Amino acid sequence: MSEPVSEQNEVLLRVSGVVKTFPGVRALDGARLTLRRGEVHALMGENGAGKSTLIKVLTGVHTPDAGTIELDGAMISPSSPRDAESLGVSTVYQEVNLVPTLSVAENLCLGRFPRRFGAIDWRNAHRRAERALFRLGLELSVTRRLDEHSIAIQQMVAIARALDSDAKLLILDEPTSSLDESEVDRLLALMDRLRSEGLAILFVTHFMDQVYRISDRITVFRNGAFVTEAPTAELPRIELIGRMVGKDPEALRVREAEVRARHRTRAESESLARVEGLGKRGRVGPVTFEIGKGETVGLAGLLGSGRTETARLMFGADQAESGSIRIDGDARRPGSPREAMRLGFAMTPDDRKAAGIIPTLSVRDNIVLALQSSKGIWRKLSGAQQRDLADRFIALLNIKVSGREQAVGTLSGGNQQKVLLARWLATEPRLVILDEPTRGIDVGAKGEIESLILDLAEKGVSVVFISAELEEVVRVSQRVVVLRDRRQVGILEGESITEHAIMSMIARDDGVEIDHG
Amino acid sequence: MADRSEGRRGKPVAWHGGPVMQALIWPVAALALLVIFNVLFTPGYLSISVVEGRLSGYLIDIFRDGSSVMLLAVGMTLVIATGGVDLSVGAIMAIAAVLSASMVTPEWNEANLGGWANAMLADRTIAWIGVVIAASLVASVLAGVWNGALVSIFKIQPIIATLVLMVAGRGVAQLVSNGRIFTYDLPALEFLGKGTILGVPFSVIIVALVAFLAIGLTRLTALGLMIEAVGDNDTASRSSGVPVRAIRFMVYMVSGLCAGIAGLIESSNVSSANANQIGLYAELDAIFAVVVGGTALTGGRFFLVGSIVGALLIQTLTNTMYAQEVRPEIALIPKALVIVAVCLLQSPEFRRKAWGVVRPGVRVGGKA
Amino acid sequence: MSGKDLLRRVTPGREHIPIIATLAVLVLMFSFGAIRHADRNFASLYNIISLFRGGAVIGIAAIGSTFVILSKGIDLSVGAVIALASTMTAKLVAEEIAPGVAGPGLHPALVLPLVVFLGLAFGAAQGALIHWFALPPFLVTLAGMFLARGLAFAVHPQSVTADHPMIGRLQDIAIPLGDRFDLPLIVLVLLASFAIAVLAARFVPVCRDVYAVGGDEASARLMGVNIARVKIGVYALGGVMGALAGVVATIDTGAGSPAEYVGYELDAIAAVVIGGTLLTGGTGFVFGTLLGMLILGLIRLIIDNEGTLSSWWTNISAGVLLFLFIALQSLLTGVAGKRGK
Repeated sequence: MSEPVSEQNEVLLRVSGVVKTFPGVRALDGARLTLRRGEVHALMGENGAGKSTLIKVLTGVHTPDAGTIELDGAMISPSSPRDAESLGVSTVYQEVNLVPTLSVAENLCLGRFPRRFGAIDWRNAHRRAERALFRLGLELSVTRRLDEHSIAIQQMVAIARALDSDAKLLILDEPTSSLDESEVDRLLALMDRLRSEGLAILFVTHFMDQVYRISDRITVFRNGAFVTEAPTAELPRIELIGRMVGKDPEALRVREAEVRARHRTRAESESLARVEGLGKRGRVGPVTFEIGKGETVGLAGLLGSGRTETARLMFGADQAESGSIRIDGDARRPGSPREAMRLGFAMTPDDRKAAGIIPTLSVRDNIVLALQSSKGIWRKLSGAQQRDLADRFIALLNIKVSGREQAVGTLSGGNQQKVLLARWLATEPRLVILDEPTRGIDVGAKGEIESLILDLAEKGVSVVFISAELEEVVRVSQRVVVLRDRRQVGILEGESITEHAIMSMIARDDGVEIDHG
Repeated sequence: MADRSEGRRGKPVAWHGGPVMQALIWPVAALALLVIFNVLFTPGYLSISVVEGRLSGYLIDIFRDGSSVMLLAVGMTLVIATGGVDLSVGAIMAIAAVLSASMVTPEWNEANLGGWANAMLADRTIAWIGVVIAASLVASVLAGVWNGALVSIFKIQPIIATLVLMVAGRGVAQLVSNGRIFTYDLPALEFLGKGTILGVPFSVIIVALVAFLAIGLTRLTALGLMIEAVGDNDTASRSSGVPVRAIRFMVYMVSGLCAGIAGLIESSNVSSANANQIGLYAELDAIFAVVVGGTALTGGRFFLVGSIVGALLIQTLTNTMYAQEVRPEIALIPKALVIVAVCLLQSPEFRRKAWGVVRPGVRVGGKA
Repeated sequence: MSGKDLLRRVTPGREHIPIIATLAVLVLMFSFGAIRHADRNFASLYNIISLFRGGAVIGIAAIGSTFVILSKGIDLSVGAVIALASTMTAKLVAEEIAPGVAGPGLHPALVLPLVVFLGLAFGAAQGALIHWFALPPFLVTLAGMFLARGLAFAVHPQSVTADHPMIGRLQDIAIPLGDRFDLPLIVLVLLASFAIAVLAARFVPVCRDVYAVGGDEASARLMGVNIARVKIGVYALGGVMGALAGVVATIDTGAGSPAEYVGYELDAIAAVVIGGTLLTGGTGFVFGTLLGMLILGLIRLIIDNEGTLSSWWTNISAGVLLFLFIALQSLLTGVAGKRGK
């Protein structure tokens, strides 16, 4: 909370009543946002909150179905990112949208090179680039290629390019996700400087600390709708998290006392594995926890807290640099999914489309794939075995398909998720890692997946469960590892697992005590 | 076809083998059209006669002349199914052809292998020819190993990786023969391309064997599933435990092997091996056959039978033009046009745009 | 300019490593030849001129390929386009095609621009297919190779002499170099083309767009680059340079042949890659391509001088060099990838 918010600052941007629907999804439902000149405004929300859709509406990628956008007193309806830029709305994305193989100067001047007699005036271009960077307090060789600079510098070059087109509003979409701490400091200092120049900055991030360090006001979205807007100083962390996940922390405290009784502590349960200090630089710090047989361990944290990264390290999808998993008396560090599979692990990834389904292949092919891989190429499951397997899981998981030969790409998200689950359950694993299995699927399917997890536990299969829905994590887990900003911040067990406790742990920097009672 | 009629009656039929039928409809239809054209303009096109104990006729010619394209198409199908491409098959054909022709030339043996080879060539011809064939095929597989290593281990894009051998391969072939074009007169080796068994060209029998083997190996084992998985989504395949690297490696080896067999057949057909002629432009024919056959260049589902039909289609097209007395060089023109047309029809982008053009009213109204 | 600034400007960046390697290879090979074959006067002006003359057709065509590759594409139709252009040029200007058979006998001043324009149209058509229908470049240009080769044979089935007095006069154009040697027209066209291309690549905004598209197409689009113009443009340029190469080849040899220039597309690509341009797009220098062309020529020259080595070593050495440069590139981009992410 750097500076006092001047409520009287002139309003620059007023978004009201914006609705945007996609086939089957209402991505924005009456979105509201007010930005003033000279403020850093944080836009917060979990997955599916509608943050990125709103940005796309503001930058002209999407046209809203309803609602108005008012910039500087005039109604605007940007038709493309270029158009938005010319109106004064510039955006810098997490993935730097510049050309890495061009020089810094070229990246700043592409499409608007200064010319002399029709030819590029390089001296002028370099001078202009140096000036634009100097404004951000950067002094670097503009003739060097962009990819010779760190991501942080690239990010700032992107900001410089955005500002070079007379931006009034700068949107920073997860700009700090790939930066280390000193780089973050630098970026925040830059934001502070731009704010004092009167620029309005919309800061989209999932890093709590950064929000509280830099932002003046916070707007929270949930499920495409506006939830709250408040000065940062008046919104304690615990409140903020509550709004983001849609829970009132006070009310929860009361209700959870009743729910808690349901939790079975399995102190007597035998240990299956122990994750010991597993970590990878830049991804997630050392994580340590125990997984009992038939136990469900929840990984809780906000988006970007390191929960997916932990899962990937455990499954060998990424290579851990430190730590190990102690299992069967050995310390192992899976180097590839194949190795993890040999340990009896299974994982459904959070990015269903990119890392999960094989879209053009049939439901049957998708279901047998992992089991077949573990058996090897030559020992093919017979047609009858494949059909049995597919039909059994289609029935068991209630997968809605026209037949087992339907291409998986044509199924709904929930059914795709179930196919992925089936793929791994078919391998009869000892440990199933489920990364956001309930994301983007309808309520009915969510319930089914939850009860499936309970069934697995009954059968002695251990589960590592990741979900943005704290409620789900609380419902299914006997142990919860809480992560924040890519670090493990605590472990909750048995009775002490409550949404409130998790939120407190995530918010701990705010000075809120962890309340077990 | 049965599937279709049932579908028309409106019953929700499970499409067993549905995609295969769908993939085959277009190439089969095109092939049928071409054959009808030929029947109308070439007298006796469909007749098959037995001349000197061997089957003869226009249709037989298509199979015999098309055997090397069919072989290449088999290997290429698997490569393309993994999302790759092998531009070096023509050059590999040349290497295999030249090596085989060299090893049955006494003078070359004398200089490179020593007298024992010639002794064997003279005394135990058949055994030696077995050695020759084995050596040529091993060389082709090694070429495939090279490609596979570049693609799967060094992670070089397939087009670029196989370009290296496309550039250097014919040089390697000439290096083997010292730049000479060897001609031979050895019925046993010539049998590969010219021989017949029960009247059926031996080369066609080889194709049938290779095709059956390929279909069997991919469909009776899990190989086919894994190749398709790798081509469709390699990240997902890797995280499902599919040995992605090994699969990639293997398909290039198979493609090399197929190219080697094709090279042997081509050279035995003319009883000689010219490193600059054998398999020239063969890669395009093969890629074309695969694309026509319904396998997408982006990888994923593959159809070996479709590729074989595609190969027959392109060979029929070539032979049709010969029958119409179009010079072989000129025949390249319609071939190129057909290739572009077919690729356009298979391109989703084209379909989308063509659709927009065909029914402009729908789109324009929506956009405004 | 401060000393530090100057130092920074002359220190090579990572993008310069391939071209420095190219230059080193060129110098090493030339020194090797010069020392080993000192008795045969390897380092003579005659040899140097013949390097340029012998490589001119590939060099001119390779300028087009350079831009295509910079945009992350590939053009396999080049050799066939050269053949088509040369056959057309020769046939259209010929006053007598075969003994007693009169040809069109058109004036070269008319024919040359026409052929180059047809090259442009051919290339642009390929580019349009690639851009608008998202077809893979290698496939479209491979089909283009078939088409151009077939058309060349359709124009005339065999080699045809460019039998026109003006051709003879064009052949006589040369800049004397000392009293014994001179630079023939083909070398002049080569040098002029490279001079223009090098300057254009640096100073014409749309050429920087080519680099941008090759570096990251999605970003380039967001930054306002007209992708269609770039993509169709580079293949059109490929067609133009192929046609120009065919035209000057016809002037130089006095004949056009539909069966010649097979595999020139691969030589052109090799020249580009050996010249330090990355096949992954976005990085490279037009000047490097000239060096690449000279290296390919040097390989041939050294092999000729060795006497014991045969001509196919040219192919193999070119392949080996190509491989080494691709390996170097993947090493560099691998490092870049690690640093970038």
